[in-house]
Amino acid sequence: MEFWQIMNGSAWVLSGIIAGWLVYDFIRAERQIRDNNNKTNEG
Amino acid sequence: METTQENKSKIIDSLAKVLGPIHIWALGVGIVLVGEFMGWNFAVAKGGTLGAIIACWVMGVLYISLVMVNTEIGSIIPEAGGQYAMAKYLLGPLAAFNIGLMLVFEYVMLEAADALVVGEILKSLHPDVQALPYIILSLLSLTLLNYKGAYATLTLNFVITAIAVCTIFILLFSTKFYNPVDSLLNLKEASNGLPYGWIGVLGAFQFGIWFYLGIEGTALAAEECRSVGRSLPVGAIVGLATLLTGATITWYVCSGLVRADDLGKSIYPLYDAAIATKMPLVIAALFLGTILSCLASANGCINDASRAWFSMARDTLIPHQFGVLHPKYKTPHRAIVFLLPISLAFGFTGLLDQVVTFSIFSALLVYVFSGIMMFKFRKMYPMGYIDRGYVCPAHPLPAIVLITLTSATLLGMYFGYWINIIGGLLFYFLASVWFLKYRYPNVDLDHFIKPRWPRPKGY
Repeated sequence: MEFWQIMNGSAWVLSGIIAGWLVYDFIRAERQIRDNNNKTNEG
Repeated sequence: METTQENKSKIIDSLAKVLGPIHIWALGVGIVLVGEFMGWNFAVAKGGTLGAIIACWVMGVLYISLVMVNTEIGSIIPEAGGQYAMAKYLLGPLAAFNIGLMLVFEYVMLEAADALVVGEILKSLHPDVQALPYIILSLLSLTLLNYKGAYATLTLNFVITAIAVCTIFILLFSTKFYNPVDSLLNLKEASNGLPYGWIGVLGAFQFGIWFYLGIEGTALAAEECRSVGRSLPVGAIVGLATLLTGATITWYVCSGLVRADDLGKSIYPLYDAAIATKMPLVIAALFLGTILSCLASANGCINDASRAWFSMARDTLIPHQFGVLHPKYKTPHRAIVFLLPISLAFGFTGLLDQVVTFSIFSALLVYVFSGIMMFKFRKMYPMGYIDRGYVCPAHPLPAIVLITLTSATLLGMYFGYWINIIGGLLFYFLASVWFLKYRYPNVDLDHFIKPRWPRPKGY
């Protein structure tokens, strides 16, 4: 495979990894916010 | 059903105060410096070489007026947030909603334009390079940086902005402009003067703005400043001086190295100017400078746009769900993630001048409001009625200059971009209808402005 095609592919892969991490952490943060809100309501 | 007050109590913390003057300078210049590396040169297409430099200086006068007006009003308004906060206190919820939206779209379009240029300049390396993956990667990686925290991103901005500034001087000195015998610059041959006369100069104004657009974004970071009274004025003034110098050097070098016809349609004028020198080190420096300036700008824009969206949510102008901070990073993560697809969508289009124009149009509408607010502000708080940290000299001259030059720029934008004007006005009109119908009943007017806001004269 040519060097630039590898670079293009790498850019796509990196983008996918970052997007995946953002989605993962966003969901995790929302769960924590929901848990914190539930604790506040119970308190 | 939760009340607005209960929702607000769930906003766990405020934004962390970690920024100093150098960060404000980096934020202001970092967003704006990219204007030297791309976009301003469309002024050459509209008004010719001379038209572009006239537009550059005239728009400099506009921004000096804007900074003076903003600084006086900002010294009284008890909240950070630039023109958005000013509109809250001076014009009311509908105007604040519109100005907030305009600021957000100004920065979202700018970050899309930045990513576009990164993709295109990488594409210039080899025919097999695709622009799209790098456009997406640029936006995603900077979004990640902002998602995780402001201090790291803006410290990084200082470094990459400083490097980008240096590359402009590398190009300048490589041309040996100081030696008439050896100088590479040939302004007389490359320039096309004023091909469309003074109408062309008017048309060039909209892209002359690109040298400075975004400097007002420094105010949006005020909430995260360690010392607002010192950081904002010092950062903004030094930033404006940097930009005025850089703009003139940029025009001089590019106009002397690249023929006007080519300069008027270039996506990366400084890089094309470097290519014209045929010096590999200079070419490499400007390649790096262009990419770094675009990344610094996009970084600042993501920061500013998300904070503006967050502020609007806290003020109940948009759904309160956007006013929540990340539990670990204390960043407005929902706002950051929400705005990402919008900038990606505009980055996909590949139409740099269209994206730039929408950003400029949004900014121009904000500047019109700024001039109007200055008149209202002085009427509500005449001189001697209240102490203020800064007094705008020679009022009402700066406000009149601001409104006049902004109106002239909008008129000039009509030439070639009248569809953009109509589209933009339609967008903000429809947004206003949505706000009045669906959001205004939910606006918490009791807490919309701080209770210690001084009473206007006569109230």
